[in-house]
Amino acid sequence: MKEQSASIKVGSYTLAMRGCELLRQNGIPCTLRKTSDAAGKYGCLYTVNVSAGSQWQAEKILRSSGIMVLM
Amino acid sequence: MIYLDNAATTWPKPRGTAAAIAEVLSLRGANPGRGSYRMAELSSETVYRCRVRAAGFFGAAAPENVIFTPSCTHSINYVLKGILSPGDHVIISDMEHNAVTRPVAQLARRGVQYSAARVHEGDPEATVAEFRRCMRANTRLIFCTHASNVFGIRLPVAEIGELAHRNGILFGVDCAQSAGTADIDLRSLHADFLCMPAHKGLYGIMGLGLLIVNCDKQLRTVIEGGTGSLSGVNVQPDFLPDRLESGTLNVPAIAALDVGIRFIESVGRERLEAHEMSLVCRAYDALAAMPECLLYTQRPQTGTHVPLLSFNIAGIPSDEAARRLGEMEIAVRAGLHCAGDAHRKMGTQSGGAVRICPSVFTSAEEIDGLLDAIPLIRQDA
Repeated sequence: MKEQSASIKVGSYTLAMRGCELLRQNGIPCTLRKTSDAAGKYGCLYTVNVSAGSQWQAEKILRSSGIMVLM
Repeated sequence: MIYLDNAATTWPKPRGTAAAIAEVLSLRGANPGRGSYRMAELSSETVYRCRVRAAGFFGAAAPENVIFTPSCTHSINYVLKGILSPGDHVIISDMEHNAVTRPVAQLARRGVQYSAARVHEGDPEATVAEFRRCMRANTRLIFCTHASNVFGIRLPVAEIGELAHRNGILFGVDCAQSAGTADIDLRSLHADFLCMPAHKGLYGIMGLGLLIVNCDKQLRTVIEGGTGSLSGVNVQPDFLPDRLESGTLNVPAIAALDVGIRFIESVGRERLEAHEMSLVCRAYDALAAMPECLLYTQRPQTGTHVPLLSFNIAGIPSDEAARRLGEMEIAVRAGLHCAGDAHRKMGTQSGGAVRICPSVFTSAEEIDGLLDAIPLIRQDA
């Protein structure tokens, strides 16, 4: 069965790229995607996609490295 | 042609620069940070890789602390106008380029106060003491050049930065003439802001500047607009680099800058600086031995100067000397070099000076070519 994925929202490509590099260095596989979130409050943003099981740890790593995670 | 106008822009560029630009135009030509298709991702990646490289080269904490701007002048304006408010006081030096003096003069018309600290060539303690003397209770920022673009004199920026931070004052440095040549580490300079162009000592191309930020203080924005992020709200993002990067970035120039920094890393910055300094000293020693030549600084040396120098030939206006050298296929820059204050300080404001600046590609034979040409100019006069 395919593991569910989680999307972590960040504000920019730069933050998303740095976030992905950090997560990979910490053994967390991830991908990066630009999303529109047109219906949401942010509009254009980026998501760092990780497995649902590693979302909490991933967000912790991002925040501790100064990368703002959007809610 | 003997090209000695590298202080205006370096030429030629490293091998690989033109190819990197061509690759962007042909394969990575999409707008970075906007689309989600493959070419847009490649464009964004090009920008990000250069950001990482520049951050590493200058000791920035993270790639987002590297802001791409249209020029060094823009970067300087972002800092000065992003910090200073009416009633604030800023200290500059008496050797600044117009990129600093003009925005400061404009801010002064809106109620910002400023002082120009005197630079003492070869005496860092005296220079720092001058900055200290200029400090007031409302001093918000010290912003100065790392090295004079006319005379090559370096300011003791690490000591000035330390003084600023000890007194709770922000510190910014114009590295237009030093980036790529001098050793620059954001943290060891105690700098909050570094401003520089891509097209000089970093061997990039025109149309790109860098602003490297090392403090939590948010700059007020000078320009707002599209950033490709948080587009649903009509306020500028509060995170870097987007906060200060409205509008489409100059990706071809960013790709060229990446090549430029890699080139410096491959040659070795210290080796590059030593080569250029040896050429400037070769020119200085020969010019000093010519009775008709006027020099304005001490013999340049690493640490107190960057490798460039200005001189005059007695009885020949600087622009006339540059014109005649140009006819002999020797490229130099005459006049005031957009730095009237520096010329006033050194007493060359009436006729300017002839400035020469080698690059890593300049040879000793080319310097000798310049030196051989000077007596010929005298003969023609």
